[in-house]
Order: sequence, then C-alpha cells, then structure tokens
Amino acid sequence: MSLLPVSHEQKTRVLSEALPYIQSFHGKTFVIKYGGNAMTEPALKASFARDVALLRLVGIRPIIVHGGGPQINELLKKMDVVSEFRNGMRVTDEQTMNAVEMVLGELNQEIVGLLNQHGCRAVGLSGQDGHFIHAKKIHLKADGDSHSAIDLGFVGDVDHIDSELIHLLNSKNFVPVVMPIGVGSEGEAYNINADLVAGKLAEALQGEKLILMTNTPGVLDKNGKLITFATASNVETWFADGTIHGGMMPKLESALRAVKNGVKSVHIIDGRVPNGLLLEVLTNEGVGTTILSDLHSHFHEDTKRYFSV
Amino acid sequence: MSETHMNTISEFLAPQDIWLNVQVASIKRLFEEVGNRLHENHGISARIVVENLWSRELLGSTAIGQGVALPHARIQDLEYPIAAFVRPVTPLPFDAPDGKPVTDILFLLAPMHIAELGVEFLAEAARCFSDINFRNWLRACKDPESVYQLFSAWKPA
Repeated sequence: MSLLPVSHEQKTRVLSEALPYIQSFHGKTFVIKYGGNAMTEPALKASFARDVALLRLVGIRPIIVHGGGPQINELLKKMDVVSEFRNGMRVTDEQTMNAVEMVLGELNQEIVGLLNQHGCRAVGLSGQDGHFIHAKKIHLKADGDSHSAIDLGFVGDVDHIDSELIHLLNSKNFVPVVMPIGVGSEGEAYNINADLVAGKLAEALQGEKLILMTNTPGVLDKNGKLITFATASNVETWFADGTIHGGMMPKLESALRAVKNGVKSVHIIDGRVPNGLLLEVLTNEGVGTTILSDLHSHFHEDTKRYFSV
Repeated sequence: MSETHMNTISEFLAPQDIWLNVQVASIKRLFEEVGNRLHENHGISARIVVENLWSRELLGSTAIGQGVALPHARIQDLEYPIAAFVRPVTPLPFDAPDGKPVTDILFLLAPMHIAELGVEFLAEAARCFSDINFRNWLRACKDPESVYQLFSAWKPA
C-alpha cells in the first residue's frame, strides 16, 4: 500500500470534515482489538496511541483488547517448550499458561505506557480484575479415531462478561486496556482468543463499533479484491462458499456474533495503515471491511415496499 | 433503457441537477433546497417534492453507509423521472447504518406508474456506489459536468 504525501489543503479538509463524524460518535463505545504489525512496528504503535488519545479526547469511549500470539510463541521457543496445536488452538498446560500470563502482562503494561505517553489515561486489566471476564474451558470433540475429548488445558471461551468495572472506568474517562485472560468457576485462569474477547465485550457493552485490526487490507473476495461493505447475511454466505478461511475465520465469527447481538457495525481494518483507526472512524472512506447487522441494512426491503404500494 | 445510456442513472440525471458544495445543516434543509432547485429547473412543486421525500425517509433511512444516501419519492403527475445529485459542504447526519454522516446524495423522483424503474435505478445506484473506485473518483470531481461524465461512463460489472 503506497503512502501519498498529504497536502495542506487535504489536511485541513479532513480536519474540518471530521466534526460531523465526531458529533455522530460522541459518547459511543468502540471496542478495538489491537494486534499484528500495529502492535510491533514503532511508527504504527505511535500512530495508534495518538489515534486512541484523539478518539478519547473527542468524547468517544475506546476500549482496547490486545492479543499476543507471536510474542507468546517467541517466549515459549526461548523456554524450549514445544506446543501442540489442535484446531489452531495451543494446548496450554500450567507451564505454558504461566508463560502466556507473563507475556500478556508485559504487553499490557507496554500498551498502557504507550497510550499514557500520548495523552490517554490508560488502565491495564485482565479478565481476572474485578472478576470481569468469566471463562469456561473449551472442550474439543474427539477427532479421528480417538473417542475421548481432547484436553486443551487452560484454553477458554467467554462465558459471560460483568461490565461494571469497564463502565466505571469509562465514566471517569479512562481507557481500559484488556488482556484476554478469563477466570473459571474455580478461580483458575484461562487464555482466551483476543478477537473473541473483543467481540463479547462489544456485545456486553452494546458498543457502537467493534474494530478488529489485522495485517491484511480487510476481507478479500475470491479474486483477492477488498470487500469494503457487507451485511451479516453476506458474511454467512462467505462461510458457506469458502470465501473466508484461516486467520479471518475467528475474526468473522466474532464479527457475525457481534452484529447479531446489538453491536451496530464491525470494522476489520488494515493495521498496517498509519492512522488507520482515525481514517476508519472519522472519514467517509474506511481502510478495510465494514460489516453491518441485517437489522440496519433494510434499505432494499424498504425501497421495494415503497414502490410496490 | 435508452440505447445511448450505460445505466438508468445517467438517463435521468442532468448536469443542471448536480449541485456540489450545497450549504445545508440538516436533512430537512437539504430536501427544501432540492425541492426549490428542482422547481426552478423542472417546474414541479417544491412542497410536493419535500413532502414525498420525507414520507419515504420516515419509512426508514435512505442512507446506505460509506457516506452515501439515496433519497427517493414517487410524485403524482410527474411526467418523467428526475435524478439529482448533491454534495453538501459538511457531511450530514442521516441515521446511516454505519453511523457516519453523508457526503454523497443521489435523489430520484419517479412518476407514479413505473414502480420497477425506481427499484432498478436504486439497485444500480447502490451497486455503483459500492465500488470504492467510483466513490473516490466521484469525490475527486470538481464540477457538475465531470460528475455527470462519471455517472454516464459507469457500467454495471
């Protein structure tokens, strides 16, 4: 993706055009899943932090959820721990879970520090804090010949979210930064997929937007062309006809569930674009794929009805 | 569809009904402005245009996201379909599905007796606007004539 120099004229136009967007989204909650290059490249990290600070300043309520897969992989490699993967999920024993918690904790504090440097009042949270993410163990059904369920260890799913803590932080203009660890019924910690946590959090808060940052331009069709706009029904079709595969699947599963459960729109954006977050939110064009709930995409039905009377 | 036109949009749109940099702060003012200008250009009643655009808008927002809206109305005694395009100076709140205010507004006024035409026009408009290249080119147009040329040249894929 090439970066064109922006003229002064363009800059002032973008800034003055931002006001109606700011007005539209003032007071609204955005859950942003942060990961990929945007989380590792220094320039992108800085632009992300500035974007979040700006959103918070103009009255939007950003909540950051971060992953840490690559960093976890790195630490485990250093520890000479070889992980087993089932259905794309890492079998997580106690030793691995300790490593996971360590890496995520460090990343969390780093992100909090980064945001604070750029003017936010960020607060790092784990799902254990205030017991806000209730997790349940994931049980994979047996595959192939084995008749017993596969034990993934400390890999969990979100059971439910108690959003009181987040509301409290939002009400005082803090920016919560959440690491994807939840607590089971016995007080044990589970590692949960960050895209999943972001989606469930957006649902629990009935957020205006769920924004998933990726290392791709967005969702691509079978010819590799970017799909800029889609409804929940379109996404269901993609699952059926094989348009989505690999890393996009958990993101789109999360997206689909989110728009079906009250989140107005989901944006899968290219985290490698500087200021991608701002561009997505404060300009009419985005930098990825926007997914709307079917509830909000009734234009064609309304139109047919209008013309048929 | 007439042979000289690639799509129904350019068939009913004319450069005189393309207005860039219109200064309005609300949908109400937008509809009034459009009603007045169409009255000037086509002699139709501004009040009737506004009333009918509103009754469709109240059924459900005609904004389709990405800064685009497609307000439309059926008008009694209208002799021929009229399309109009407006680019407001400031993006207008339009209750869009993605929450974003609107920057590109294509109007359609249709005579009472041709229902399929309206549905076809709007489906084509939605398809046309769903192309990011089209949207970028449209936003780069600086005068009504180039907007008209752009719509004229667009071919459904």
